[in-house]
Amino acid sequence: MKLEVELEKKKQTVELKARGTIKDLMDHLNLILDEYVPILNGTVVTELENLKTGDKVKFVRVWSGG
Amino acid sequence: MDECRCGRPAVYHGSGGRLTCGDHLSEWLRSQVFAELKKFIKSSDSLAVAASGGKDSTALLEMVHDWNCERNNPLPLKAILIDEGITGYREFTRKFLEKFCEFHDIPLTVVTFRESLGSNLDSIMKRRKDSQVSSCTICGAFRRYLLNRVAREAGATKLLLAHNLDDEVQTLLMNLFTGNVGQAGRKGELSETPDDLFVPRFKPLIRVPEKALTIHGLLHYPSLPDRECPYLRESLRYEMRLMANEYETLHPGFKLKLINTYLRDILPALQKTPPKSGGNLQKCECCGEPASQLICKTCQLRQTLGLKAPDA
Repeated sequence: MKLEVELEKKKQTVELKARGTIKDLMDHLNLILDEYVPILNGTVVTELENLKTGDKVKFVRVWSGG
Repeated sequence: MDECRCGRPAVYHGSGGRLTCGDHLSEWLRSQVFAELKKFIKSSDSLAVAASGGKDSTALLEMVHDWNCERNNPLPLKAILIDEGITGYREFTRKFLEKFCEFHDIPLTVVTFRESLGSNLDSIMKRRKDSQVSSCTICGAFRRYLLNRVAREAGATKLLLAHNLDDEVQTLLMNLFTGNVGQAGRKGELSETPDDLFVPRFKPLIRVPEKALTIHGLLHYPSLPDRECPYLRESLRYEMRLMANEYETLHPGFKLKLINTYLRDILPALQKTPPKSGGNLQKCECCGEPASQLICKTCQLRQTLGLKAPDA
C-alpha cells in the first residue's frame, strides 16, 4: 500500500506491504515508539492503528522542554 | 479504530497495554497530579510553579490551578519563568505562557538571564571556552539558582517542577553514569533539604510519561509551541533519552519500574547513608546560597564565564 508520510516536516511516499499498522510503518522508518506521536488523516492515533493505501500519516516528535 | 474502554477512539497506548481516549487521558493526568498534591501539599503552603510555556509545565500549571480553585480556601499560587534568552525558542514559549497566565488569572513572574547575569544563554555559549561544559550544565545551574531565589523571595513554601517520568529516568541515568550518586540522593517527588534558603521542590508529574503529556498538549493546547531547545542535541541528556526510549521499546514499562524502584528503595537508602560523591550541604563562600562545595556551581560558572553575580 502507498502512504503519504510527513516526518520532521518533510513529506515522502512510502510503500508498505498490503496490510500493516502504524507500528509497521514506524519499524520501516526506524522510528522509536516513545519518540513520535502518529497522526493519521488528521487524528491522533496509537501505533496499533491499521493502515490502508492512500492514508496520510504525520509523525510529531515528542519534544522535550517542560 | 482502536478504542478506549469507553468506546471512543484511542489516542494513547500505555506501557501496561491500556488504550485511552483523549478525555480519559486528561482525566488520568489530573488524577495523578491531584493525588500527588493531596499527598504533599499542606493548607499552609504557598505554591510557585516553575513554568516555561512548554507542554509539561503548561499541563501542570493548569491542573494545579484547577485543583486549587476547587479548594474551600485556595492557596497562594504563582508561576515563575526563567527566560534564558535562547533565540528561536524561548520567545515563543514565553509569549504562550504569558497569554496562558493572563487567561487563567495566574500571577506570573519573569526573570531573565540578561537582567540577572548580564548576558543571555546564547551570548554565554559564544564566550564558553571549555566545550566540555555543556549548555545544559550552564543553563541548568543558573536556572535552578534563580528559580530557588525567586520562589523564596516570593514567599513560596513549595516549588512545583514539571519534570516528567522521562526527565527523571534521564536524570537518574546521567547521575549514575557520571558517578554522581550523591546527586541521585537529593532527587525524588519531594526534595527537602535542611536549609532555610532552599524552597522544597515537588514533582507531581514524576510518573507521567512524556509521550502522554505530548498527546495531551496536542489535543488541548492548539497554539502550544512545539519547539525544542536548540541546545538539546548536544547534551548527555539527549543520549540518555534515546537510550531509554530504545530500551522501553524492547521492555515496555522499564521507565516506570525504574523510577518506582528508585523512589521506593534506592533513594531512601541514599538519604540514610549519603554517598561520598555528594558533598555536604554548606553555604557558598561567594553568594551565601546553599552549596555542596565551598563555592557553589553557579558561582564557579559565573566566574569562569565572566558574568555578574545573579541578582534576581
